[in-house]
Amino acid sequence: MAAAPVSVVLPVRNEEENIRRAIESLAVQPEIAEIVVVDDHSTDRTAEILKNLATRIPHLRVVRNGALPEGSVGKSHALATGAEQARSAWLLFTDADVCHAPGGVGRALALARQSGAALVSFSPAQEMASWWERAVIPRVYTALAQEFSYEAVSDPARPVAAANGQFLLVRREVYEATGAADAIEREILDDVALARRVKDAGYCLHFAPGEDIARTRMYRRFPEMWRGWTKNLFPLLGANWRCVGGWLAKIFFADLSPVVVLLTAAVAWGRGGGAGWLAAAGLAAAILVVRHLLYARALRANRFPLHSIWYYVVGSLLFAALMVHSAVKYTRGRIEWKGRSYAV
Amino acid sequence: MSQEVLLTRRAEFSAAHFYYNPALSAEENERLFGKCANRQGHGHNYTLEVTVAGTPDPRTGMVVDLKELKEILQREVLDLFDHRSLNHEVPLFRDRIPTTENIAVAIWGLLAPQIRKGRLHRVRLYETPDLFVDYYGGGDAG
Repeated sequence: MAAAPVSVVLPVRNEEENIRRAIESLAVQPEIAEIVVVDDHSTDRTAEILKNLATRIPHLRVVRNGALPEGSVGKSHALATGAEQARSAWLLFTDADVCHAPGGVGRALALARQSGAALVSFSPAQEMASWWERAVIPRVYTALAQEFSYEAVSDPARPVAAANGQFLLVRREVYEATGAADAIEREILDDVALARRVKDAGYCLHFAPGEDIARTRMYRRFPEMWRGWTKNLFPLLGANWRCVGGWLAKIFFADLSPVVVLLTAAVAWGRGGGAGWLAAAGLAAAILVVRHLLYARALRANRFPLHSIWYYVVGSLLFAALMVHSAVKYTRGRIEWKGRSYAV
Repeated sequence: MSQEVLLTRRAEFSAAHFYYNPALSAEENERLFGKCANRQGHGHNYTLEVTVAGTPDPRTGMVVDLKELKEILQREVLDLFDHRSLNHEVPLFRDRIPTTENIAVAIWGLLAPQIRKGRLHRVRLYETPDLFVDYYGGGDAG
């Protein structure tokens, strides 16, 4: 078994703010034999930063993403281009906004060997600085965890498959044997598509929280987050209006309406209204308490800080708005991603 | 004939290292490197002298902007090496033994592309006050 059995494949497009931290955190991991960065036509200082990093990191290689074939998605094409260049037994797909913990790759490899999984993926710990990150990110991730639970994905007996492209470690021979490059080329959700292809081919997945593996700051500005979840939510939630409708109904009746009822009933009762108003306020409050307790449990299970609970209601409102926006964009048939427009 | 002047800036950093070639046996490593083969590592207070050659600018009288040179040294060398375990934390030494010689050559490689005014003439690295290495860029310097 080689001492450094991992090739990193890191697609980048205009990542001047993040790329240095990501690469430096990978460069010191002894299990990594090479870091293949695929520059997808960056127009900012990314290329210059990569050139400087290459003078101090001998096993860093920078490759240009070629011209994009018709119908292909830029990032997915970059992943496939990088994987083609990689030589090691394991491929680690990751993103520029991820900072890898010391020893993280070693722990991931050990888990892969222990579990016998051909694909190991972790959700990095989330760095959240602003109120809108704290409101939306845990709300969305805990909801997605209901669709794609870690236990279900890691269970070979259950068909559901998912992965997080921020840390996705897969055996190169499995990636090649399953034709994964073709599976992801035209997909916006490259990580889920790859996981599905590998699990459908009969291999095991291991999907788990990864706060000891890596951390990420996904969005620094609200418009970035808005665009990012618009791109991802509709396909993640089932890619049809029936599923989205179900989620919206749950948020409307269980999260948002009780707030309106509580406020209205409390005011009405305060103005001398009958006991009926008090009962209504009490019921609404009870529903909200239960919802918050359930959210607290989900936050703990998904390794989010408990103080995110204060943002539950506003998080639900933004989640609902994002869902609708994503569904409308997909229904209209066009999605924008880093300066490119894709037909969906 | 223009007057070429050599300007030297000194900087210090502390770092740990050990000497070990994984291609050789443990016995061979100990024979070659003695106590330095201990992979727990040992430390040095290095002194680095960077010499730049050039003709003083007629307007400023300077061969190179000293503030800029200091920033380059800090950013390209000290931030990378200072208070680090060279074998473990500096990717340049994953496959190269961090002897004073190899560190000097590595520092040349980091600095030369950044020095645009004047020309990097010599990197001198003291491992101890009694032991230093000079590197002139491998023969392509004037």
